[in-house]
Amino acid sequence: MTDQAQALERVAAELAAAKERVARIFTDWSIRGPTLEASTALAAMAQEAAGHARVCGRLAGHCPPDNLRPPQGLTTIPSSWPELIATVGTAELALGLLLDRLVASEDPPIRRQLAKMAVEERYHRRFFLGWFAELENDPSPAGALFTSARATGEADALAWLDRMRVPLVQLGMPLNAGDPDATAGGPAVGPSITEDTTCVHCDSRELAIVSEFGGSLMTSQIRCRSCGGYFERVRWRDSR
Amino acid sequence: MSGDIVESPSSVYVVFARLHPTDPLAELGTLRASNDGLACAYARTTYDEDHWCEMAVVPRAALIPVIETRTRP
Repeated sequence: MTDQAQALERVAAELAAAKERVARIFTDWSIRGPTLEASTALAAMAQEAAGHARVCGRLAGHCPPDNLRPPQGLTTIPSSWPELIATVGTAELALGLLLDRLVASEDPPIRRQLAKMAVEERYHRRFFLGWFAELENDPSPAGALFTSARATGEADALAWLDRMRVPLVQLGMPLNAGDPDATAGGPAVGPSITEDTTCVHCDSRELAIVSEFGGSLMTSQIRCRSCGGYFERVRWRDSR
Repeated sequence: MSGDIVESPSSVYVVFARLHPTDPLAELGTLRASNDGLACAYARTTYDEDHWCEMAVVPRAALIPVIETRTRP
């Protein structure tokens, strides 16, 4: 097996392990969201996350499950809604970032298998960014709990993404503009708005950076000039 | 509990969808959400009963009344 094939199996195995944890957490919370709509969304997202774990599991081939470590925030069931949004939300953003790299692969079978997953992941991102917007401006203790949990969640997510750097470089899909062969593969994560960045609300490319840093170091805040909506995008440390 | 969510003032959104590109955009129902992003996320999961080719949400407050609601005499 080539290094590239091994790297793909490794990344897929990590994604599968993380997605399985996400599915379990969503399932646990699907009957106790703060609104009926939120609970319904979690129930649907739980099914999708379980499906994502299966898809990634198939791509993982025979990759041994040893040393698979999902983001720390996914190892326990969050005990409150703000913690759920903060920890699983940041983990999902990180998983989505990785998935975007894989979907940009020039390998048609990989793209085909991950296409549906990528579309569903965009809706998960929309769900969490919508809740981020609610909680980061919440002056109540729930808002403070969210802010604290989000900082921890982002540190966990960045540590997890750090472990993906080597296999992604082997795949020619570097996450980081500073990675050694960043020019050899797909687009590196650089500026917060790249050629393929579209509005999460209306898919427009007419975007403007409101703030290089969003509610945290991990994200930038972006405004869509077409629909006027705001959203955040995961950035990487070496972006400008 | 410190993590309790006080639901923020939410708006009613009307959900529209069509099955085929040539179908009229039909009203599916409503939902409550506190911002547009959440309304989109909720619409997809709440009204997931078919393979819609298009779906949209509109804040009910954005509808401009032409004939006001009235009861029959």
